[in-house]
Amino acid sequence: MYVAVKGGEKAVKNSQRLVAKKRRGDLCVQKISVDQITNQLGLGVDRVMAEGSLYDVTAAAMAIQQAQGDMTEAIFLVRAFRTTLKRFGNSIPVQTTKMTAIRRVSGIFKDIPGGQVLGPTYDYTHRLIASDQDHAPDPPCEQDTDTASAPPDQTAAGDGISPLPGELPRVIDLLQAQGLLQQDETTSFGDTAEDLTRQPLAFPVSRNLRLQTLARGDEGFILGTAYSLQRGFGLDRHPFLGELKVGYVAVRYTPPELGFDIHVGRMKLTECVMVNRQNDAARKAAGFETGYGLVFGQNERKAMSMSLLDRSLAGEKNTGKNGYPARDPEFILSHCDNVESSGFVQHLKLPHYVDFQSELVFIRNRPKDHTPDKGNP
Amino acid sequence: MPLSYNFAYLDEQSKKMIRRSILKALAIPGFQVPFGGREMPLPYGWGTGGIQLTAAVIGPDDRLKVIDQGSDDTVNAISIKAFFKKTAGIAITEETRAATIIQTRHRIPETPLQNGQIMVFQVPIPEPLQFIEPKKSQTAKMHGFEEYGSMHVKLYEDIAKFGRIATAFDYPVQVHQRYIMSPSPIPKYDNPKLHRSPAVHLFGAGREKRIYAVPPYTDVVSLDFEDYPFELEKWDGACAVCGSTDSFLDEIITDDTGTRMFICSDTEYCQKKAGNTFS
Amino acid sequence: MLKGFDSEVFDSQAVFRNLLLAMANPGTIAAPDIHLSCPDRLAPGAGALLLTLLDFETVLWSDLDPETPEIKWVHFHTGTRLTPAPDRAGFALFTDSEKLMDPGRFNPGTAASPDLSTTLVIQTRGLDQDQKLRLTGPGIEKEAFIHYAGIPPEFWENRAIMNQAYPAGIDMILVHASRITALPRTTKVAVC
Repeated sequence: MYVAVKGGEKAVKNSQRLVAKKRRGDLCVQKISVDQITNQLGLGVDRVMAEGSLYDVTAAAMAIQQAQGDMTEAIFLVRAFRTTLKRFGNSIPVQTTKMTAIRRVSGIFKDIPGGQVLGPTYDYTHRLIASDQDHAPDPPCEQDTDTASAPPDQTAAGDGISPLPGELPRVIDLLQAQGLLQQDETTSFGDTAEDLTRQPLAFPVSRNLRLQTLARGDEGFILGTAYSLQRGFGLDRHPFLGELKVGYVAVRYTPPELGFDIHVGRMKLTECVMVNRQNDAARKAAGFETGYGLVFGQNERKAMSMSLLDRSLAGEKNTGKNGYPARDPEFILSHCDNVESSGFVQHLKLPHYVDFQSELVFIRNRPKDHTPDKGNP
Repeated sequence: MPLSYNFAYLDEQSKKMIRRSILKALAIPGFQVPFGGREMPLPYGWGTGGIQLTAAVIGPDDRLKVIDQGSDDTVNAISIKAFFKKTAGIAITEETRAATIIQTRHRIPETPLQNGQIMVFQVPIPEPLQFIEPKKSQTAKMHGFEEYGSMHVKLYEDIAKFGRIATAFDYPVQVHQRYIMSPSPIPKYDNPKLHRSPAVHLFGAGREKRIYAVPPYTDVVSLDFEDYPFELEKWDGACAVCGSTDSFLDEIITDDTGTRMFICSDTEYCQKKAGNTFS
Repeated sequence: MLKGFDSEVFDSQAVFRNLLLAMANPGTIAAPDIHLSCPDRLAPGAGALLLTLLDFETVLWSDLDPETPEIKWVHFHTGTRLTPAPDRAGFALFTDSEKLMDPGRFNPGTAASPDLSTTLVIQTRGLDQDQKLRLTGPGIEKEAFIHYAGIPPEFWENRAIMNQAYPAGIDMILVHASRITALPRTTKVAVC
């Protein structure tokens, strides 16, 4: 007599116990603290905030710890947390020209007003795995209230590096001033009621929603598809980096009850503007067009890839008909959210035995099918 | 970090948005209403659409049944029940007749539903035309202007190739003589249960962000041709546990030589029927 | 300012559940347990359903002026946006059914997006199951009968003409005191 296997509930509880055990690891090894993650794994935290669509350093760090370092899982945790938060309204658009920049580079001019600063970057490090002994010992910890309140990566007076000015003109404004930039290029976003987290994407997509989708999209997917552009799958010329900045901007908000704006906090952003020659010869003569990228935290790879796709997916009539994915808005924008893609790909692990049973019944009945090339007497 | 959650997890703003979408869906049977779906603590693809619908609809006096593949005991059904127990504290039941809300993945219960009951279907791909035309910018127009020719061509091509329509589950239906709809990946065996059902049927696709509905007593017709009418699956034999010959049967392989037995997929229906035989 | 629901979470859920069943079963009368003090010209049923459905993402039109206590109350409790343009409204509130306009003045949605239509919320002068209107369509097993006091017969003619453009169309919620009924665009209404 067949007795159906029961115990799904027990299996689930056991798997939850096991994952908690695996996450903690060897009990004799010290547990990682959230502080250690925010301080020493900051670039991971930045990515989780960006794709989690939530600027909350602690939440992102807790998520990384809880997900055992699986960034896609951590991003999912932050998104789910974000769902529970009440929405008060929209901030005033942040002013990236007033960014307190810790890093600023341009690929199109040797010198730019305000100067270039390499800042903290892995770009010029040699990728050699080094052990602790190869590093100089840490200086003593200073319980100094001044430096304690400043973000850890801001240059302190003792670093001997002169900080960038507090107000930096945009490099592309130089092109604009020379009449080389298409007049309808917007450089300000934010006056919009569109919010990707509260409404589904509908095609054709506005630039606001395109940028929102890319900003929180999976870095790997966006990097890969941007890369395909550079290799000729949808772009026929070399793009140029107009400007890349990393730094802090003030966030301001006007509560309706007050009627004036207040300073809410500061956030670290990466901003990228790509420049390339216009493709459309029929348009009026300006010459250059731009792509834009803006991401939470220090996420240069992402901001640069985003700016390439912003340009390649632009144009009202762009339906991707030339066949390359990075020119197809619906293809790229429908598939760049890794919470969606991870969920759906992995859902194949769920029981599908009823659907499969239907398939089995269908296939087993096949010999009775009409096969046109077999004559029947 | 909040240590306690709002009733049924979702914040009230999200519930309002989903509730408005449900009312529109009921007013336009079979039409996929786009909604601002939220990330839930379960992954996309694992029932977030169904969960959001249940979370928006459920109240403290409800009795919730959750099934997956027809069974109350499959791992994801357990996980979803645990979620609602934790965030809403509502009563859980396995008895189809006693449930006020039934959330399901891939099956409709064998026990007939009653007016007042609400079925919530988990839908992976809400678009019935997805594998014919993956772009939403195109299918929106096709639904809008009732341009369903490509669907009929696909079914006709099946007949030309295989001698019959080749779809076994997620079999497309036409609702209220207008919209072609995906009934979710239920086996085609379950399609007739939707036609003029006394219950409310709500369909949620969280990842694709679409809600659709079939009100009670609404025409739901499986697509076919006059000379190739819609047919249900058939098995040789009955359920090995309860003897039923009119329920969907799962195939269980019982030994290394491939011996098979067939058991009702709907475990509650099976247990009830088997219980009656022995009483 | 009169307060809203005692418990936003549970009161709005109970009201919504009744609304869902009303919209799913046109012709049935839902009588949710409503404990709400609304300003004078708002029926408790209407006040309750507006509090349940509106928020800062909705747009409301009304036959009452924005400065009236009723509209101020709705705006205060929900944050809804207001519009003087009927065809820009997601919800249209008629506190006086005598002021009922041709539904053609509102937004019926489009062929591709029929869900973007205006939902009318109408306070009637009376509501019972008298055989004045005969209802058929989805949600109704054979037929249902209902009577709304205070709605002119030409309104039903105009509605029928408008709903010929199905799937575009107008959905309605009709209220009397604390009782709620719904008429989705799919319901055919025949005057007996």
